Amino acid sequence: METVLALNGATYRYYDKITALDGVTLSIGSGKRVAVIGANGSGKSSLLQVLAGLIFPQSGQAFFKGVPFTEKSFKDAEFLRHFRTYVGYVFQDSDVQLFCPTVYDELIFGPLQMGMDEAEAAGRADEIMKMLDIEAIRDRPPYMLSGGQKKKAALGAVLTMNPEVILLDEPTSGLDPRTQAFLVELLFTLNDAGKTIVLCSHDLALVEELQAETAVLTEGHTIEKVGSADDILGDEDMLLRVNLTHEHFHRHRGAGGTISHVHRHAHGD
Amino acid sequence: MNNKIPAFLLENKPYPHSRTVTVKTLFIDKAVGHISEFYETVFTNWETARKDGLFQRLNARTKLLFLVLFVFAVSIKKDVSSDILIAIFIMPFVVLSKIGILSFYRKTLIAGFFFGLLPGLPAVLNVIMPGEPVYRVIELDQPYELWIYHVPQTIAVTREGILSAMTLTSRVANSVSITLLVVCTTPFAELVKALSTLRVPEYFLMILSLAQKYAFIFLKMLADMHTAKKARLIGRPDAADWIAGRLAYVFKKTQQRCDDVHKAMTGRGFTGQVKLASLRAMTPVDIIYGAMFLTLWFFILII
Repeated sequence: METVLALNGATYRYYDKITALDGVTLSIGSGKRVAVIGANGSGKSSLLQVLAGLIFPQSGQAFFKGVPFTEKSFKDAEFLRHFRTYVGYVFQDSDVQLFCPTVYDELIFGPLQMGMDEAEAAGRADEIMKMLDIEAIRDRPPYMLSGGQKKKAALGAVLTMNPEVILLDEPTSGLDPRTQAFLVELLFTLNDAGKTIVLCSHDLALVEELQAETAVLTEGHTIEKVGSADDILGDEDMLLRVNLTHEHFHRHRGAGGTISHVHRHAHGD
Repeated sequence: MNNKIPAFLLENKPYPHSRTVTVKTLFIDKAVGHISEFYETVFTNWETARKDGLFQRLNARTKLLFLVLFVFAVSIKKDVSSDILIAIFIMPFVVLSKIGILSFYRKTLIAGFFFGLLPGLPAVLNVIMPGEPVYRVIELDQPYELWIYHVPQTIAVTREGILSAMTLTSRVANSVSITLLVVCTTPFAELVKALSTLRVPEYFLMILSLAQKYAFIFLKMLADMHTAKKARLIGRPDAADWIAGRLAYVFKKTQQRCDDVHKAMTGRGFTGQVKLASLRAMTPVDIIYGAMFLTLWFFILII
């Protein structure tokens, strides 16, 4: 199995002061479903942005198909075109990603920047709108969309570029259960079609549902453990240590009287 | 987790039966109210632009041609009859485009009053513009020289003054009605794209779209912040301090958002040269209407 994206000892600090990633080593295999989990502020989004070539580590290396890439690599037009077509990034805040005047313009933006013929790009946009069931909002400006519609439009805007790797930052955050279910199903469909799915979240239920290969980030911005979803979710002590679960006091009242005990709990959004 | 509730959280507050004190509406409440009205207007315009009316069916380029030609015609014609002719010519388009006619002409007349009639009103007197008196206003004991003005002994409303004020008012009203007709029947996105026909660079168009979109987002943020503050407010706040603080906050947020949007654009292949989706192609109907507008424009210019 080919490794499409990898990090080796990557360290990233915002403004050269605030550490977001500290010596992170991780590799993403082609066609995999990978989840990066961690508490708030552990560096999940930064890790995804480093993988997407949107920010660059101050030390350590990032690799694309085994070849190290830096900010300088993106000066090469051919590499830039190949990388941006190959790796798509869906932001957590859809308002950031939806910068075009209408949903249709949003969907067609990426393919046009890649130099695609407008008729072909329009055909792709139509098909994606049909798949995501957003044809009715084709000409609507993004600020007139609901949260779920925005998320679908943002995902569609990336899918029209036909990326092989789709990076999703907190994809189910703020979505209603129906849209969440739609999104999870879509991620499975895309993965079955051969796409590599990498997402970051602190929603352990999502990780379980996706049965993703999981990397856990600590609050110290390092990788604590990488393993299968079952392996990670079964390691309660580790989850407690990285602040993804907490101990919860409970009192149950039943036929046998009152029982008090402590549970370990994980919370999604 | 140690959930020890502080004692004050357990206190019940009885409803105070004291005398009623009216809390004044602050200017900031009014401003936020105007933001909501602005949203409503934009949404109404968007709905109007999507109706199945005559102008809505036309290509944005044809409408832009109409706008440029007729605003130009209005600005160079100096007689009221041409303005009346243009106003009569526009009216059927307003009706056929299913725009609320009362609201349309109310906006037009308000603009005509404030930006045409009011500034032009002093010109009706012979102090500003000499002419044939039609109504005597005041009789002075002698004429005066006041700075660059000659104040005649009889201050009167003149025929030339009335015509001049009427011309200015009708020109403003016509320009506004032409612009409103196009703006109300064209989605903003199409209007921006149509500007590329006038060789406006795509960079500028992208900035225009971004500015419009993020102005909305930040206005909403300001309105939400105000609502959040209002929910916790008792008594009169120091509005000036609050506004200054929030403006600084929004400015900072704008900078952060700018960085994030740039990342989002980069992630989708933006390299510094923008390529935007083009406007839909012109149909024979668009071309026929374009030719008709051009013919009428010539007709208005030569009469």
